[in-house]
Amino acid sequence: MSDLVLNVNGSTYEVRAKVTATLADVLREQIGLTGTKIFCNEGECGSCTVLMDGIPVLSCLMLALQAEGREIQTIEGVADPATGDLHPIQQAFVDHSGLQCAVCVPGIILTGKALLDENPNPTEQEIKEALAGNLCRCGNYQRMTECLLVAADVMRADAGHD
Amino acid sequence: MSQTERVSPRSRQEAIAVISEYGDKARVIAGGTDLLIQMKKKGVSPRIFISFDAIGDLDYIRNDDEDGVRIGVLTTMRSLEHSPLLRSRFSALARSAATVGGWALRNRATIGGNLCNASPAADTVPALMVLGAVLRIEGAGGERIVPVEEFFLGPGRTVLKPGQMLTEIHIPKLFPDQGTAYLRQTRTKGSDLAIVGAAAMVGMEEEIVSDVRIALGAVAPTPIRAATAEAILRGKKPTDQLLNEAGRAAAAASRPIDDLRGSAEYRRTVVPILVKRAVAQAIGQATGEAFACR
Amino acid sequence: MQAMTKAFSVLGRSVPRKDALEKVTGAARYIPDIQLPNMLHAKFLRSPHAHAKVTNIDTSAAEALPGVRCVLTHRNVPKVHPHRKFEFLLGETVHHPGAEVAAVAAQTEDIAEAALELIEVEYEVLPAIIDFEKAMGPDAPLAYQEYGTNIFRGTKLVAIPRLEEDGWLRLEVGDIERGFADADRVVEGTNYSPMQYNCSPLPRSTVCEWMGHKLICWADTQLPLYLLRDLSQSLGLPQSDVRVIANYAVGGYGGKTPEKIATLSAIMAKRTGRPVKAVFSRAEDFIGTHRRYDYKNHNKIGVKKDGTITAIHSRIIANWGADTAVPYIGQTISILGACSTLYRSPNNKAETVGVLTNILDYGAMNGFGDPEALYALERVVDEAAEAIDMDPVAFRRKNCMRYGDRAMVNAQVATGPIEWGIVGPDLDIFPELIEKCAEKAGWKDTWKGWRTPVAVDGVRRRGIGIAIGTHHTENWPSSAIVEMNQDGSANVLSGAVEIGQGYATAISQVVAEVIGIRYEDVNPILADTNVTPATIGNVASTGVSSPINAARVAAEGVKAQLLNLAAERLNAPADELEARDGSIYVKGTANSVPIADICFTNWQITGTGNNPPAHLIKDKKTGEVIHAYAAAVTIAEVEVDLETGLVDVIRITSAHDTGRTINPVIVENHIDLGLTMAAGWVRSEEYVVDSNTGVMMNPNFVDYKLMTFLDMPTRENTQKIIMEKPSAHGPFGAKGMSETPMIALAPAIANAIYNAIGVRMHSGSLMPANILKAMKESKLATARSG
Repeated sequence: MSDLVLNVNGSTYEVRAKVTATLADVLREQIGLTGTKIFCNEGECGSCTVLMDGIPVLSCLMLALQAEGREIQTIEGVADPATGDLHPIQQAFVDHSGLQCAVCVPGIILTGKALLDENPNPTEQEIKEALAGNLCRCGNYQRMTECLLVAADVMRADAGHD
Repeated sequence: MSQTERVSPRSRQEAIAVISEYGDKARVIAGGTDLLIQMKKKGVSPRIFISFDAIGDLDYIRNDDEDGVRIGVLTTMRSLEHSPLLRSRFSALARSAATVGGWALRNRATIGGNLCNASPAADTVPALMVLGAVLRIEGAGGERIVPVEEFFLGPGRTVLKPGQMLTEIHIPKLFPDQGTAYLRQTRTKGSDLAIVGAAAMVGMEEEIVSDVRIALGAVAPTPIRAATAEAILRGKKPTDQLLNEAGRAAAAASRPIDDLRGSAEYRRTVVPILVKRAVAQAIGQATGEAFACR
Repeated sequence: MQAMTKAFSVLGRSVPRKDALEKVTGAARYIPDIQLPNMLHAKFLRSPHAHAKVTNIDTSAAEALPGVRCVLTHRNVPKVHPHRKFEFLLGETVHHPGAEVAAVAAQTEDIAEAALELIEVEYEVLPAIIDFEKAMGPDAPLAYQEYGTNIFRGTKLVAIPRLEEDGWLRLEVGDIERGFADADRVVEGTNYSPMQYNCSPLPRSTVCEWMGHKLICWADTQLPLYLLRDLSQSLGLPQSDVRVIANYAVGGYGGKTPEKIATLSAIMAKRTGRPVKAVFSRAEDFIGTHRRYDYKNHNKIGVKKDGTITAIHSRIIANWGADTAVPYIGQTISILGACSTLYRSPNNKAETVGVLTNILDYGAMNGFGDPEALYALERVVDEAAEAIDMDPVAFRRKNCMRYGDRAMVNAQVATGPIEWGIVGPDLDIFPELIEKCAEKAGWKDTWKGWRTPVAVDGVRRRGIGIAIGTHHTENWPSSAIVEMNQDGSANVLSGAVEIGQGYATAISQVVAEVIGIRYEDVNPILADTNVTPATIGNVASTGVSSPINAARVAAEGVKAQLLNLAAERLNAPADELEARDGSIYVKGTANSVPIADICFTNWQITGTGNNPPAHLIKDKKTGEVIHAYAAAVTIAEVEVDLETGLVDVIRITSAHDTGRTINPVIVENHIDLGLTMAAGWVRSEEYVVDSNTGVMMNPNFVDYKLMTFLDMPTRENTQKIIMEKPSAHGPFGAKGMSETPMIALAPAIANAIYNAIGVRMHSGSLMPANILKAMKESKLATARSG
């Protein structure tokens, strides 16, 4: 066992875990943030995706100790921490039913967020390529792509772009 | 439950020292994407981790006009995929890196990891082969340079001895009339392993193939060069018939097995197709004009 | 999309889902997210052998491992048959690789897994039968030695009265020999339909906790009532002592049941006095649950030159694996639906047999019986159309099921008696559905005729193909309760489950529509057997037809009470009142009283309702019992690379009838689900079973490949058509159709490939290697005959 200090969603967590514990396990079991989902547990589905310093990583394929000193964002940290207002991507998923069973959704919202932060005006093809590593067994790909396009429009408008 | 230790070198120098000291008593974890799979599926349970996360000076892609490009082993697939330098001048490598897993995986997976994991289906390796890459090994026993073709001994096995590590990949300069390509066959268009991978580098001089390298992945215990196929093309004017012939020679050189991804028979059928298409694409890049092949 | 929504306030609107907010913020708790104090973790030891006796099992080392609290084997669990299958809870004989042999509960998952390694099992390996065709032979090893045959003939727990002497189930109408004699052309073909893994996004999980003599089981299941019954029977408990909570469950796309883990965990929780959580690993979920069954289909069709069908004869051999919890259900759907009623044919014979083998058993999976049968039938239907050189769209339009055709509840095929009813008036739109789909797909301008690809471009060939189907939406007994809160909002209580399909949303929309309050003011309370009234759960597309219909009835009861109470206040008879916009109005006036006011003073307004039983739903014209079907028409355009065998699906046009659309976006999402799952089934999801050992070779996503964001066509090239004609069943005429999108795409792709390359596929999968193989064999056949 070892002591870890993790920065998750802007808060500091001191946890005690096996050295071989994955980041996904520590987030879910030790810290109790169960929004990060385990669908395949082998890095093939993207459901365990979290953002580390703003970029998507597979938390089931990382040791928790590798996340020390970095800023982790899980789905629980996407809404505005002060007001609880949903991020435009979350709002789009709510408004346009971008979810069915929603196990893939946290990973897709986070990956989508990283995409839009990097590329505020993606095409359908660019969205699908960025999300090619995220599986959805409910087959909701088209709708989620639409939601990300809607969110991108909202974010550009908010930022004062055309 | 036994205690597991962790060591975190903070530079290339420290890493070499730590690797030399621990030898095979410790497992290196770079991105970790391959090691975590082995821990989950093959029961690999390291007592000591040498974690490379804190090393800052092994993640680089440097243009060196004299010598081509130097790439640090901790460069991620994502960096390779997006490097303007690689995309413009060494595109087979950028292309092959882009095929590894999904975005989140490529943010962590390193070129060093891809090489050291030594999967017969590794995507970047055929590309590195046709680019003439050489690898720098440092650690116990001193420093040496090894051509990428000589790095692999078999599935999961490389020439690295305990106490040694890869530090850098060096790709010699490519001339403007040398084009490259990497193609692969998969089951889906998302995260998938190559059923067959084919890389080509073709240099064209006045409509003649002046220079050619062809490498194959997932059709032998290690990625391989297809020397006979290369010989068929070298010094000749490329035609459909010639490309087909080269493809068949490449298939003959491959030793595919039946596995879950595909049968040996299917792989042997696909090799010549991918080879001729990769060669055609490389020719197109070399000449600036699309080269259609049938 | 047809606009029927003007008459309704909330029905037909794409309102945001009830479960959206908690799911997009990560707050929604699924079963694996549950953490209880002092909880133990359960793991299961599984047989590596397909067929073996457990001659000895030594758990002493496992029990001695610090942190292990309980170990179960066949020696210390009740000898019961969960799910009415052959097997005992933990058996002395195992009948498929992956069958449970022992269970462990320990402080941590790691300790539980370590304990499994310490359990020593001695097996006497028995001869196993893996190949289902070979299993039918006289000398084949028996999958179940006690049973005496590999042809399923029913058990004490499960009777199939209509099985004939030879073990086949048959449904006959007319005289097929005469029908074939009358035909101008007769075509026949053998086609395989492959296995598929349900692949729920969350592997099976349960948490069991005892409160005194009462058991609480949180279970990721579609079928809470079924689980409650199973737990009560297996544990010898009265049903009132068992509570099953299934929130939030996650799509199993068929019968997601916890298999044995609920019962085993419950036993361990009782013995240790601690809650026990069991979460399958993904590999376990592959090998320890169930799968879509695979069929060998033979179809023979007789047609006249004008396209009339004179006879259809279908024979289906189904690979059961090691028994099943749902015996013959999929097959009756196949032989009644696809084989006997989808097409109008005066002479019909559909027969099927279930074969036991020592591989994982089959269970329900999206479409259950219709995709498997249609994947074969629709290929032979195309051959029939080609034989008379008729456009395959026109052929289907001429012959498809419509109002007045014979229909029946599929369960009767197995149990009898055979009581034919009819297809309802809503299926009158089937021909129009076909026309609209063809029009949207540009069929007339695209299809160039038989044996002519749509386009040729170097080594690429483009083809277009069509398939149709129907799926019978079941009608099962359900109850619901609607209770008004003092502020005029409503709770609707239902035993069915939100598994991702939008159940919580749809039921709320219906209740809001009936009572005349806002959708936002309806609170769905679901899937807690202590609280919610009985319904089997969510399966067989019954959500709309059954529990939501029960909720409609309950809501109407509430509305009647509200109207009566309002009548007093408004000084008008109840039949002159209407409920809308949160108030009760005297019709045609502004005279009204808010529903909230009524509820504030009368806080005991509660309605209960049962859905009307199917046999009472009768056709006004003929008095015959109407059976509910939903139709699907799918047209696929593909591009085939002749050199690599790769098939790209470029365009899909899919048309569906809903009866009445409750939530258009949710319906479209269902269509996307079915299309994606059907595409994956035949294009990439290869379920590989070792032919010697019966072991599933690819229980992971490295080698079991689901369709990804990049594998389906673009949004523009995925066109969905939804038509509404109210059904006699269901609330406001809405009918269950969520499985129907799965049924037609796979054969449409197969037919499109034939159009592209002129070679018929008969194997299950359409993966590139099979395409090349079929092309090669076809060339050889042509060379031999030429």
